[in-house]
Amino acid sequence: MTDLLPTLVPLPVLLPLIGAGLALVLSKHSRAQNIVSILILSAVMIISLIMLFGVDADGPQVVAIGGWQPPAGIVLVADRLSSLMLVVSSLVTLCVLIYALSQDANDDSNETPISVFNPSYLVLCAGVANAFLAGDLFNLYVGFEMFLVASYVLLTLGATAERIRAGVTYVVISLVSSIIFLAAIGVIYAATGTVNIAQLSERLSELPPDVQMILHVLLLIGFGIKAAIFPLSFWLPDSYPTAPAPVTAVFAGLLTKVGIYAIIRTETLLFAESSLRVPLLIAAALTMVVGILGAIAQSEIKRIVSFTLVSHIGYMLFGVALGTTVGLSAAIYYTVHHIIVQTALFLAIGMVEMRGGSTSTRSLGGLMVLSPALSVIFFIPALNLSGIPPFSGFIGKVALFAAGFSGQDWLVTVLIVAGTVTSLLTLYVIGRTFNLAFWRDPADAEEPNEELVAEFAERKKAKLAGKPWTSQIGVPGSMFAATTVVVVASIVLTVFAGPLWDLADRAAENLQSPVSYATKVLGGDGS
Amino acid sequence: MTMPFIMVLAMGFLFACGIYLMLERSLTRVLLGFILLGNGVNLLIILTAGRGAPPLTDGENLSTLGMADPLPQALILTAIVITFAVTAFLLAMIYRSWRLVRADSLQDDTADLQVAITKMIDSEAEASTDYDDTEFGDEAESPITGAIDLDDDGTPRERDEDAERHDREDREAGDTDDNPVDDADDGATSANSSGTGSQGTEPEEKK
Repeated sequence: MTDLLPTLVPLPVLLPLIGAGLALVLSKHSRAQNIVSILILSAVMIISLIMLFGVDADGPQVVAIGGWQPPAGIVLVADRLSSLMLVVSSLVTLCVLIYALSQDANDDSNETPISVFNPSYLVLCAGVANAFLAGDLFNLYVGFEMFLVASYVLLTLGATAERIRAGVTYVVISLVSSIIFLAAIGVIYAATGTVNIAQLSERLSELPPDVQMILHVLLLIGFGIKAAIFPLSFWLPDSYPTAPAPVTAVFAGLLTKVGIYAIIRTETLLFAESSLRVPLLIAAALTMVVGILGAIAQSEIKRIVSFTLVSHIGYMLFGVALGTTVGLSAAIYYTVHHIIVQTALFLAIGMVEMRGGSTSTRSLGGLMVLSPALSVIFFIPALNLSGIPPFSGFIGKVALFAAGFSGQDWLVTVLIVAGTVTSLLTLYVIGRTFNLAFWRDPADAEEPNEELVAEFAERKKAKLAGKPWTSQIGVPGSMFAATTVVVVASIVLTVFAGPLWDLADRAAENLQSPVSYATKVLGGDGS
Repeated sequence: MTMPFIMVLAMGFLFACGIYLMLERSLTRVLLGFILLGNGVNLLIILTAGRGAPPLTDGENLSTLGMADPLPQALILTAIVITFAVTAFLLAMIYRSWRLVRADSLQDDTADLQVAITKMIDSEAEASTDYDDTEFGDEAESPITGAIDLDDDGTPRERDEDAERHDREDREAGDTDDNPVDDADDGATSANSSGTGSQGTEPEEKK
């Protein structure tokens, strides 16, 4: 087991890249391409699970790529946090892939050319894994660029006018964030002479406080754009909703969380001593409140959920900004919860779009009657997102608030109030959406969808006559199954909240001791 | 480590021009701004290496005395490649944007506008989303008029009339293009015609 682990560490990056190459070669044979992609991502998921258990038992694994020892060489570091994130991301990417492939197989419009979809999707997975495993800042940048470039392609699939418009915003904003990150790396190297995170954690604290502050702010702005933190979040609801449903699902679930992951690393390992606690807490509060107020104004379900995504990033930032172990564990738990729930929600919305012809609450209606299973699939993650008690969203929020209360600070109290208000407003937004799209008679909609109205009337007639009724428009079973798996995973987060919380707690403890991280990476001989 | 002042000045200049250009609405200027910014950052990284001899040894004397730091040079290579690839992608996207909307500027988000002014601007929104959904660009806009095939409910004759009517309308729309009042109407008809266009091409794709 101990010998096996270091071999496994690079595989979550390597396998999807090899898979992307294979998928490109097989682009003429879409069936073989799909099988390769699914097999690769399943393998990555199994490897990540083994890594999580191994790392939890044996401690962080450090692999020096190409035999070049740190600090000069590139290292991959798998500690508890990164392997936990890997497990969640591989689960989500696998389910979304299955969903996307079955949607594509059933989609007549064929707006996503599959030969491009699979390779870029696999590159995206590799990039995300690389960002999670990166042991030096520049490798983190390369990981970011890998998944960003793949995401540019995925967001503009089919190159319709609407997607190109959204894509331009997304690409330009992402480029700016990458440039800022790269500039930060350059300045950090100039100041310390290294880009290795472990070595930086030792050297950065020796710098004068004002230099530290500049570097800290530069990095946070770069990551903040990616994570969609309030003043830097306006691009997100503008660009995500136009992409195909599975693409939006994986973007919303994963990409912003990679930004959060990078912020967690920055705050704990790099700048444990120069604290930006107050600005971060204020940013967190504003992210929550402004995000959810944006959601209230919207009438497109995709846009509503994109705004709630922005708003809930605030919770994670809140946990990170607290800077305590409990706060960090709550942030980690919340991140895991949010990846899964947000993905499930977007997948369900994709099926709503397929079933009801649009995602506008102005024309949808009656889906509860027409497609009861779909409404359950939408309802569970929706309630979970707004933090209704049995679900993991509630546990995460309670943990965050508990972490905040232990601090005894008026600013934190303001944040807890903001968090509660945001949670209630999320419930309001979600409730209204559910009401409009699922409960009401489709004929009552502002712009009634004729097909839905006719179907609804037919269904009513059949019910009155006591005849069985089956819908003509079905959602493919495999899409449904993939979404169900993600929804079940979100429920599992509730059922196994105890062990998961303990794991998050241990990960947070790791993060709180950058010295042990540094000795592990620099002192270890890579085996 | 000493940095030549002129290089630092050049870097600052690149950053300033790059950011200024990126604030423009014109996509070509955004692209130029990005290229300048990218070069500014590359210059920043290479400056951290300091001045010195090339980091090469003759194999016998392994002293690193007086050498420039090789690591930033390795970093900058990666950064240049990434910037290059992304520039190519941006160019392709700007070209596509030009093909689609005939404007070298960032378009407004229609869904956003709808929320902002609450009034529905249906015709425009439909025109912008339905407009050219295919890979074939302008070809898909003109329906195949000569094809003999049956509609869902009608006869081939009905379709021919339909196509003729559209042609006529298109011509008229072309004449009155500069009239802003007709613009909404114009968009709606062009959406219609592209709709029939994709119907018309369907049988051909199936062959």
